[in-house]
Amino acid sequence: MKAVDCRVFEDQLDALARGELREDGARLLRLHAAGCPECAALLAVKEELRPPSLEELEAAVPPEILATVWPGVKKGLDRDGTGSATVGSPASRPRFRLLVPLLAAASLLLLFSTGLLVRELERSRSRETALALELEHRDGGGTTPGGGRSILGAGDPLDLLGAEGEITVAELRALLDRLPAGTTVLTARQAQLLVGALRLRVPGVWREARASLGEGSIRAEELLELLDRIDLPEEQALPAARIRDLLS
Amino acid sequence: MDEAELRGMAMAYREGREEGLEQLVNTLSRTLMAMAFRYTADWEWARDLTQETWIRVARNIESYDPERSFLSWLHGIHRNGCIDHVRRPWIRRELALGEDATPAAGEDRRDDPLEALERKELRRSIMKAAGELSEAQRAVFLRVDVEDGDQRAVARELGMREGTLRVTLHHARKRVAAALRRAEEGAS
Repeated sequence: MKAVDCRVFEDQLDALARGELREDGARLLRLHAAGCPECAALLAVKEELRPPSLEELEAAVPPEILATVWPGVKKGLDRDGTGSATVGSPASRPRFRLLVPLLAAASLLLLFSTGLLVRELERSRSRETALALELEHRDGGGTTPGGGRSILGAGDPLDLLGAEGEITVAELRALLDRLPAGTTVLTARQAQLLVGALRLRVPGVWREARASLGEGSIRAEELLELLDRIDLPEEQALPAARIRDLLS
Repeated sequence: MDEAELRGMAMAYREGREEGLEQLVNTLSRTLMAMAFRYTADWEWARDLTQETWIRVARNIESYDPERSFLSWLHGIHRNGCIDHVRRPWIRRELALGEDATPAAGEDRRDDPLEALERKELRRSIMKAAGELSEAQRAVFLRVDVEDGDQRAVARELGMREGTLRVTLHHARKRVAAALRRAEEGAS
């Protein structure tokens, strides 16, 4: 009996949600829903999703948000060189569809993370130098201050910037891997700046970044996870001049 | 604005005149945002999806067939973008985490903020469940229940028999309702 009632209920569900049934018919169906959790849930879904008309929604579009549509589209097209239809062949576009946003994201990510990492490493090196000087003072020799040995592992990670002044994604990963678990690499403010910059420049990525990074400061392992998520080319490099700008 | 004018703008853009695209964006974005809002219940999300749609249009303008309706072509691209939005796992995660959303158009009229909050949570749960449906179930559920489409028209559009659509919709609704009940039980 219940099965028949449920079938009738679902048959009439659209009409019930739209208020198209007569009062007594609607009352019977609602009575059934009151005693049947499955049909009550169906009705809740249908009533919640009953949309306002498209005209109502169009009237409710916030003008200040609507006004940002074209500037955003223009920026997106300028960024990937699709500003006019004559640029690039249709066949070639999809292959590179994500390349420019990803490279933009990569640059931003590298700028922020490398800047802070390098600062952290410089602090570490200063501490190491101070320790070496103290040891030298006590023992009359030993470790050479400023020598190429880092507390983080073999070789000085600052050397990864290289003579050409670039650091690749693979090198950044290596740097992050060497940091102790839980090391903060971006402050909350820097993380906000990063996510804000992603939002402006790479609309498709910033929400993911926000969901992944949260509101607080960013630890090395979280930044590594974001690098994995964005799936950057390992050889992607960042010019050292920009890093030095950050440090100055 | 009629189809001929829209097609003219599209063809102008295809010939390299950017103002063609700008005119299309300024003419049609309000409708696209309203359509996207049905999926997102959030105006900023709706704006982002609309921008993504226009960028797809720009990239694929060469594939537009001027013998066909520009609006149908545009709406097809936009709908696919909206459906992808529901399907993205990180969107589902964010919905589950309960990011603040702009109140739905109908919610402004409600006086009780608690009721509005509950309804917002309910909608999030529904969209999260929709993201976990099979592809066919999701397509039918979103077009019929979210877009309030006519079942016969949706069946025709999807190349599905009406009976098949009804069965698919039945299973989709059951799964969404079951997910909703689980969410409510978990909350209580």
